[in-house]
Order: sequence, then structure tokens, then C-alpha cells
Amino acid sequence: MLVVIGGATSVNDLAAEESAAIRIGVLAYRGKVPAVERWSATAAYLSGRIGRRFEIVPVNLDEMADAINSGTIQFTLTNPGNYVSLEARFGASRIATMQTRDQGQTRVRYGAVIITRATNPDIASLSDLKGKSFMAVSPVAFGGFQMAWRELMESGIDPFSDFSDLQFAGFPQDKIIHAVQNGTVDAATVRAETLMRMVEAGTVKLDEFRILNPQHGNDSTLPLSTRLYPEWPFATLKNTPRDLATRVAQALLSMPPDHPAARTSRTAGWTVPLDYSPVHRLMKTLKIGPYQVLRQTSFTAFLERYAGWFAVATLVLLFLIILLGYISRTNRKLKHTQSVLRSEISERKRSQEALARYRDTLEEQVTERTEDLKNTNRSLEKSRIALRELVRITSAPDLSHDEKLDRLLDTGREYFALPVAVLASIEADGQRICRISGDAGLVPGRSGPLSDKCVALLIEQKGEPLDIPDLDRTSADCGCRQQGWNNYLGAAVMVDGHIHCTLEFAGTDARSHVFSKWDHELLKVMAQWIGDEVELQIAHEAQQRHQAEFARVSRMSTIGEMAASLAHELNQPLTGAINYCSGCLRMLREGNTSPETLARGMESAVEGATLAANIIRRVREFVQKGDTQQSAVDLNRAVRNVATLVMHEARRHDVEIKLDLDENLPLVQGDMIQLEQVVLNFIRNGIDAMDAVKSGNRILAITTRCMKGEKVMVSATDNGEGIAEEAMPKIFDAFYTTKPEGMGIGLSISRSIIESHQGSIRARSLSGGGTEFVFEIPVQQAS
Amino acid sequence: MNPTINIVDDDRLARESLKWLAESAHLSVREFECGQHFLDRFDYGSPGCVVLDVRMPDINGMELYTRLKKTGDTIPVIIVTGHADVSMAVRAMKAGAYDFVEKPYNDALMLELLQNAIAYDRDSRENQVKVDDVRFRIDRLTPREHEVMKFVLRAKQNKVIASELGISIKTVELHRANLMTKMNATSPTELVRLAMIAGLD
Repeated sequence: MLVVIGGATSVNDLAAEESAAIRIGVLAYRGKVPAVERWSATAAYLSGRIGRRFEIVPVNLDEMADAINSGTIQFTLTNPGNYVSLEARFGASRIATMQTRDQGQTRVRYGAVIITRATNPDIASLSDLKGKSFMAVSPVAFGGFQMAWRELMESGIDPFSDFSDLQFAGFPQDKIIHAVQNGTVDAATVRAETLMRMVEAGTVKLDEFRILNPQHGNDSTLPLSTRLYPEWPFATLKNTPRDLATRVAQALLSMPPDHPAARTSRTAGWTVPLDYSPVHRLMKTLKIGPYQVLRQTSFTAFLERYAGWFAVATLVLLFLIILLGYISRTNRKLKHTQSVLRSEISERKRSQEALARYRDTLEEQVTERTEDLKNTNRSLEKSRIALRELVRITSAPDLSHDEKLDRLLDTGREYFALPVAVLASIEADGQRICRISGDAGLVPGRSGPLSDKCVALLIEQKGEPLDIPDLDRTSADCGCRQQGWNNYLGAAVMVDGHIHCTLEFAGTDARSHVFSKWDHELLKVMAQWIGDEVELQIAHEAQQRHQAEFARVSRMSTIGEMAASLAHELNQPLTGAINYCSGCLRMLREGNTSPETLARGMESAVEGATLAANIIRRVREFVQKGDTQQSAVDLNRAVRNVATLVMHEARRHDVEIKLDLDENLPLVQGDMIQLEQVVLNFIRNGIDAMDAVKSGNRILAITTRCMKGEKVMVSATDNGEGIAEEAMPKIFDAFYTTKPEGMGIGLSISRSIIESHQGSIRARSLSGGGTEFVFEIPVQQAS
Repeated sequence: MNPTINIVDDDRLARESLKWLAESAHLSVREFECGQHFLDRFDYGSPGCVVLDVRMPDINGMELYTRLKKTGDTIPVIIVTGHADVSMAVRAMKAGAYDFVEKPYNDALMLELLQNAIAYDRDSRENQVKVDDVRFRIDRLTPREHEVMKFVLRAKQNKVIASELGISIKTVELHRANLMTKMNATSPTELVRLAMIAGLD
């Protein structure tokens, strides 16, 4: 029975199944009645083709899920977005994709437009939509919102937060377009065909709107703002028999595009199921449908949401850590300070005990030291006065080297209260007195130091003072006794690390008081100063020798450089003399010339020879006079001499030398030859400097002037090319030259010559080109 | 007309001493103190020679020589310099100066040089007289005689000349006789010699 019942049941079920209508769940996005009206013909077509009754079940999105869950429907016809969700949740599987016909074209994909009024100047692209009002069909409408949503998201706009107002107007979409047309909203999105349908119907004009984010390069002729997505799918459900699904698919695919059923459903028949992965990508981007789960678990989204709290928590934690660190550091410091304090306290205790002990002996020590100090003070005061005197002597500018030495010895004699002072230099064959001060009668006829033995000791001590207060008592074998000295003080004078001479003081009487440490220091200072003075003198002499030698080399090289000019200068009178002489010889041989005529020829020959001799004498004078000789010099004369010497050189270079001499020029003290050398260097420099100047314009002006009766100025001004600014600081340096053949010593020797005459030398570039070289020398003081 | 030595030197001693030397050898001398002086007062076309000092304040020797050449005067020029400058010597010789002398010079050599220059000048002047004479005679030939002469100079026979010029042999013979008379030549060989003097090809 049970079996029968069971069997009957199964048979009944089967019969019921056979006879029962096959239900197609259709997404009724515009209401249930229009959905039934639209798809009934298709259901009838399928009934006719398959031989079973097909029924349309209009559902909304929520009802669709319920209908599938309860197995009420076997097939579903819904929008791509919903289909993708059903695919994921219920295993729905597409068997055909709807075709549409539009403007004569069959389409299987569709898209949406995002429009604004063409007259709205603010909105040119999607990103301009921020803060504007926006209208769409419904948040769940695939073509009527979600397609546009994706494009907006990718342009950085979240429609739910970035618009000033987001309205969902539902169907029909026409009113959305009208809302944009009359300015109720700034922008909106609708299915692309909707706009074109209204344009074709003449309700609106296309140029009233601006299509935002226009898409190009797709196969559609429609204006588009979004990507294209596959059209609605016809899908079978998990429990629907496969052969039924196959037959339905075949029936749909074989429906002609102009079949009445197709027309009623506003389609153009069906095609093979398309790829719905673009729809998946949209869903994934928007995190909706099957991808809603992404929205809930995204860690970054979570972070974004709670970023403020995270920041506060982190800051509090950080603050606590820093506080902890600070407290523990302060603790450590406190501990350390405590231990230091403890050790200081014990140290102080010990010191106090020691102080107490010392206090007892202090008083007598103070008395003792006070006495010492008084003595020291006296000696110090005495040596201070002596030192000041020594400083005055060594720094006196008008004293000569020898005078300074004499004064130093006198001061020393007075200070030490000893009657005789001797400075004896050490020569290869013994010692020789070079300075003697005081009672010369005490050392009659001596040419060496006061005491040979003592001097040997002085040399051994290398500058340390030797003090023998009582020769009688301390060293009988010293040898001083023979000369009658009883009292001796001396030190060696060091120059450049070697003993140069000895400084000795002596007296016949025994000393009345002991020389203090300060007295010995003063003696050392004296010896040092004498050494410095001698060193200075040696250096001065060496410098003068060098300078003289340098000047001679410079003069020789100058003459060498002038050789070509000098040769020409000599050739001229020599040729003349030769011509006259040979002319006379010829006349003499013929024998019929009068003696008067011959004499006239010989006179002319002598004239030429004399001229040549004068030139040679001038050159020799210039080259030979080497020793420096101080005398009163007339710089005008020096300038004229040099101008004569270089006359030919100047002519050869086509340079005109103009002299502008102050006829009331005072004399200067100096070396005529050296000063001539400076003038010569100036002139030769000027001649060389004007090589680049056009011939006929080369003028070298030599000027002498007396400056306020204190100085004599000599200047040489050329109109040559001048000196480059960077070369200016170096021109007086030795071996600095810009001339190919120059040695670079001319101006350097000039500077040392002028400096040794207490003068100054300088050069400056003139604004109009050319250079001025100037030296100034103090006027000779009337003595 | 006696040949004259023209001395141009601004240095009095150099100038007068050379004059003295030249006069001791019985040569006649004219002095000029500077280049301009020379250009103004020189007796152009006169025989002799010119001695120029290179370095002079107004016009230097080389410049003066160039200016003298421009006047067309062929008098030989000796250039004297105080300091030898090879490049200047080369330039002077290339420009056609007679010689280049460096001071101080050997007096005997200088005299010899002056006399050679004078002789050279005399020879070239005599030669010029001959050239002028021959050229004068050539100018007197008729165009046809001139044409015939060219053929004779190339040693062509009369019948060849007649066929070349398209005239009869008799006419050629007549032209030939006339031109030989006018040229004062007795044989074709002499005619060739005269043509060479005149510098004809």
C-alpha cells in the first residue's frame, strides 16, 4: 500500500509535473502587469514549440530569490546584474541572451548614458559632477544606475557621498530625461536606448544634452557613457531537467527576430548565451551582488572607518612609553647624584681635618713668604724698569745696529752694577771683542773676552747664565784673578741655534748682594735680544747682497733683450766711420786731394766712432755698477738717463716717449743705479704693452711730481692693452710673466728696490685702456 | 747724362758717409733726407741707382720701393738695413730689388755693388733702345705684311703662305720683300733675331 501510495504519488507527481505549467520568473522592473503583457507571447511561443504550458511569473528582486528557493519557477529571465547574483547563489545557468533591434541594428549588448544639459558650462567630465545633483532609476537598476555607478567610481566619485543630491526616480526613464532637460537635476543616467528612443520620437533633441565620459571605439552607433554589457539572459535553474532546458534553448534560438512573440516582447529573438564576466567585473568593482562580502571584510575599509580612533590610541600609547622612559631616566640620575654626594661629603670631611692641621703652621710661613715676596717685588720692579729700557732701545727706529748694541751693554752694566761689559764674537781663530762698554782702562790692550776660561764655560752652558759672585773663593784656577776680576756674570748669545758671541760683565770688587733669579732671567733676555739684533743684521746684509745680485742679473737680461736695438744703434755710427775712413784712404792713394778735404772726412769719421764709443760706455756703466751706493739722487736725471738708453729700443717699436718732469723735484736718498733700473723696467714694460696698439699711436708718458713736499712720485703711463684684472695681484711677484720671452723678474726686482728705499710701488689699469705704473719715495730729510 | 747714385737715409752720418765713399770713387751722388723728399724731387728716368734705408720715420724703405716701382721707373734699387731681417730681405728681392745690404757693410763691396748697379742700369737702358727701335719698325708694317712676317718667322715657304692666305705667290713675294726692307733685315735668321729682341712669339 505504502508502495502503491508511494508509486501513485510518484506517478501523480510525474503527471502533475507533465501537466503542470512551466513557470518563468521574469524580473518585473516596471510593474507586474506590463511584465506579463510583454512576455506572455513568448510563453505562448514556447508552449507551442515544446508542447507544454509555459507561464510568466512576474517578480521583483526579493520575490525572485523566494521563487527560486521554493522551486516555484523553472526558468528565470532577469537583468544581467541579477542574473550574476542568481548564478552565484542558486546555480542559475544562462541558455540564451536576448537580442534587441534598434535603428535597424540587432544588438546583444547595451550600455547607459550619463547626461547633463548641453548649456551647463560647469560639467564637462565625470569628475566635475562632484557636489552636483544626480538622478537615476533605482539603486538596483543595472542599466539605469549600476553601469553609471561603475564609471563614476572609477572617476573617483562615490555617488552616495559625493553628490549634493542623489534621486532615484523609478520608471519610466523618460521623466529622468525630462528632469535633466528642465534643470531639475544637474545630471542623470539612463539606458542608452531610452534617450535615443525619445530623440527618435521627437520628444527631446540630442543636442540639448551633453554625453559625459563618451565611449568610443565600440561597435555601437549609440552615444554611450559606459562600457557595453550583455543583454538580459534567459537562464535555467539548478533543478530544472536538462532536456527541458535544452529544448527551451533550441526553441528560443530558433525564434525568428520578427516573430510576433519577439515583437510583443520588444526583442529581436534570442542568441547563444554571451559571456557575463564584464558584469562580474562591475559587481566586483562596486562590491555588490555576489561581491557584497568584499564590502564587509575589507581591512582597508575598516581602517578608513576607524582611522581616527586608531590615531588617538597610538598617540596615547606613545605618550605613555615616553613618560615611562623619562621617569626611569630621572630615577637613574637621582641615584647617581646621591652616590656622588655621598663621596663628596666624606672627601670634605678629610679636607677639613687636613686644613685644621695646616692652619697651625701657616702663620709663620706667611711671615716668611711676605719677606720673600717683598724682595722679589723689588727685584721685579728693578728688572721691569730695565726691561722697559731694553725694549725702548731695541725698538728705536733711528738707532743703528752698533748704537743699539752699545746702549744694551750700558743698560746691562748699570743694572748689574758692574763696571765693564764686553761682547766678544767667536771667530775661527779665537775670540775678538766687537763691543766694549764701561771702564776700558780695566781691560787695557785686550782683544779677546774678559776671561777665556769663563767663556769656555759660557759656551758649554749654551745661553744659561754663568754667575760667579766671588772668584776668589769659588774658583782660584779660573784665571780671572790675573786680570783682577773678582765678580763675573756672563751668558752666550745664540743666533739661529748656534753660539755667535759671548756677553760678559765683570767687576774688581766682591759683590755686595746676591743676584736673584730675576737678574739671571734679565741677563738671558739681554743675550736673546742681542742675538735677535745680530740675526736681524745678518739677514739685512744678506738681503742687500741678494738684491744687488738680483738687480745685476736683471740689468744684464735687460741689456740682452735690448741687444737687437743696441746693435742697430752701434751699426749706424760705425758704418759712417768706416765709410769716411775708406773714402779718405782712396783719396790718399790717388794723391790729388787737399789735406783740408781729408781732414773734414777724418773729423766726420771721429764723430761716428765717438758716438759708438758713447753708446758702449753707457751700456757698460749700466751693467757694471753693481755695488749699492747711497747718495742724494735726482730722479729727473735718472729718468733722462734711462730715456736716452732706451731711445733706440723705443724707435724700433715706434713708441714715442713723452717726459713731463717737475723741474723743482726735491732729491731723494737712494741708489741711482737701482732707481734707474726701476724706471727702465717701467719703460720697457710700457713698450711691450703697446705692441698690439696701432703704430703711430704708441705713447709712453713719464711723469715726475713732488707730493706735498714729502714724497717724490714717478709714473709711467702707456696706452697699451692694459693688465687683465686677475693678473693684477701677481704682477709684482717674481717669475710671473705674461711675455713669451720675459723672465718675470723686472717688476719683482723693482718692487724690492722701491721697498728698500722705504717707498711704495703700484700699478692700475686706466679706464680708457692702458696701464699706469707708479712709485713713490720719501724726500731726503735735510740733516 | 752721367749716372747718379740717389741715397735715401734719414740718418745724417750714414747718408753723408756713403756720399763721401761714393764720391771718393768719383761717382756722382744725390742725397734725400726722407722718403717723401725722394718721391718729390727724384729725377725720374735718369740713369744710375737708388740706395734706400729700410727704417725711416715717414715712409719705410720697402714702401718707398713699391711706390717707386709703381711710377714705372726701372732704376735698380739697393736696400740697406741696420738689423738683418731675413724675411724682409726675401720680400725685397722677390719684389725685384737689385740687392739687399746689411749694415755695417764692407766699403769695397758697397762700391762694387754701386758700380755693378750702374752698369746693369746702363745695359738695360741700351737694350731698351734696341727694343724700342725694333718695335717702332714692326709698328710700321701693314696688317698683311705683319701676317706674312709671322709665317716667315715660322720658316714657311712662299707657296705655303700663298695657299694659307689664299693669295698668289707673286703677291707673297712682294709683301715679303717690303717687310724685309722695313725691318732692315737681310735674311730670315736676322728677322728672327729682331723678333726676339722685340719679344714677339
